[in-house]
Amino acid sequence: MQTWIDNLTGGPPTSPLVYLTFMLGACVSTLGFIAVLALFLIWLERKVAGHMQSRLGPMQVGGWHGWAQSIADGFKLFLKEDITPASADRLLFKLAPYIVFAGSFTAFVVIPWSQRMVIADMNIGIFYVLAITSLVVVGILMAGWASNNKWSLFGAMRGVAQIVSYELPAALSLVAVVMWVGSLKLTDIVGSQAGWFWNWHVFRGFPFFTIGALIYYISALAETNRVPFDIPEAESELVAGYHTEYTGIRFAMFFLAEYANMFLVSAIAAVAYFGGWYTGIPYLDFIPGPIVLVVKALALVFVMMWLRWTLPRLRVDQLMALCWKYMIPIAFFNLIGIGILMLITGRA
Amino acid sequence: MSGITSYFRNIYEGVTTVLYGMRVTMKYLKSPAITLQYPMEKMVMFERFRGLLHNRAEDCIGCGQCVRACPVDCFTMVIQKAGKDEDLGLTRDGTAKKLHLYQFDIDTLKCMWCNLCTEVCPTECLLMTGEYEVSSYQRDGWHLRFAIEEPPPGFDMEEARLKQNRITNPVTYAGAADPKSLVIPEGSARPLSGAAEFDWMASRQAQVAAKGAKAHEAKPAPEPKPVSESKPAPPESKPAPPEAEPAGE
Repeated sequence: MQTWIDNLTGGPPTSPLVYLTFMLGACVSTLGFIAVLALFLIWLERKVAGHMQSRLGPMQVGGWHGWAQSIADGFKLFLKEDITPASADRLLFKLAPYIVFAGSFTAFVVIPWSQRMVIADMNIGIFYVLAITSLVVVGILMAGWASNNKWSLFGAMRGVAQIVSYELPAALSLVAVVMWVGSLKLTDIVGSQAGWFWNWHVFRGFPFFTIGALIYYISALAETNRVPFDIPEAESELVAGYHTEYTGIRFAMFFLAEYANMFLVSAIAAVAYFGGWYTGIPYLDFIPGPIVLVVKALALVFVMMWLRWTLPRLRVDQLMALCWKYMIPIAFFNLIGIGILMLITGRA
Repeated sequence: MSGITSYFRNIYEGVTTVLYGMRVTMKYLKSPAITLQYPMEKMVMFERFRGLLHNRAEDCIGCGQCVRACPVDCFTMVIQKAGKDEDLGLTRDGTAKKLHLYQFDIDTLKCMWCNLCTEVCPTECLLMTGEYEVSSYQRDGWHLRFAIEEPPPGFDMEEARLKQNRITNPVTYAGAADPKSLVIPEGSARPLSGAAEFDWMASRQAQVAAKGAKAHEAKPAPEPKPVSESKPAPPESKPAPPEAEPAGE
């Protein structure tokens, strides 16, 4: 973004204050985008869930297929009473939703919406994303512990175990991509997928990158606590898991954070494996990059919703077995395979 | 070795079953939803649905069978015998009416929807419609009044009602509307589906007309059967009886 601002002004390097203002503006607009996106995704989830169950979903609020349902729900949550359990740890209780939300929101600054449209094009892009999304773990643990409710604590502990475990296969599959590209910068990762759609990482280096994409996607499902990995939320088992005791806006923050996180991991998957802002057909490259990336991320989010309404929930030991016994060994073999492929093709 | 094969079989089965499930869900996503958006779309009831009662007063002969058959005594009927020279007209199936019908009320609050009253009605003027939305803001919202004749001046309705009905102290509903306004008129805004729309009377008229025509037809005399044709004779006589059946079944 700094280079973009420099190019905009054209002349001598601008003062840090101007940078700061631009950065703040970009962050606020990203926050607005995430909020609207989360509202849209919640509505979409309810419609998709409805139609997959032969029913209609929201139809009344706002007229056409209840598009304003999420807005009405958000408004309702704002009006709810703010209850903090008497024996809860007040500071942690109040801080937890914001940390969970911050964990996913701060990773949005590195997503490359197009060649130059990045808020912060860091040299350590992918590494930053993986690190900052781990903040969610701290937030969940705070929520579960501070609620002073043993079921919330169960949900939080399971959630933490799940997220921490599934970070490994996710990181391993992304490391394979980084190895191939040779840079941690997200714009470089997308840049190596220019041209036709068979240049996309998911189709290259067959079969390793395909498997890698699948592993990353499944780990992403586990990271965002989506079915079949939603033991921490476990709607019918633990009431609501770690966010049982949260009402009103605090609950809205968790909810928003979940959908923002879903979009984030889908966007990272699109960037790392599915071509980022490239349409895959060079003749269609006049379509603006952000639109292409958002469409790809939304398609992956739709697959997440599709899976939610197809699969039953995994038991916590099945979940952990899947991670440690299947995903991590396969991710390692994937990494080795990519390395050998690179040696063979002379990319190393 | 079996450990490794089961490991890979697990992976294979895991992936394939997930994909199979996703195909099922996508099929449901693409097929239309089966929700009926009540109250904008209402379910139309089947033909024999036991909904709200409706009486076609012009066909009612005032026999009182329905009143006697009702297990909960929800009918209130006031009749008066017609004079010798009075012509009250005919019902649609040709029965002459011999009784004035001054009051025919059905208290839906008491009705138990058992259909016994419609079964005994000889002219089939009392029917159960397909109307199932029978909630109201007033207690007498569905107190149905079907009589169309006004009693003559000087006729003591109260005494006649007490004498002719088993209910001696009916509840009078406060704020009762104009007696005629609560009758569901023919072709009203709320269409009656099911039994009422099936025009029993029209089909009955057709049956009666067919029977009457057949009765006047000269029956052909049975042909003298030659002895040599005794075998082909029986198949000839068989079609004749079934032909007369449909009119009078």
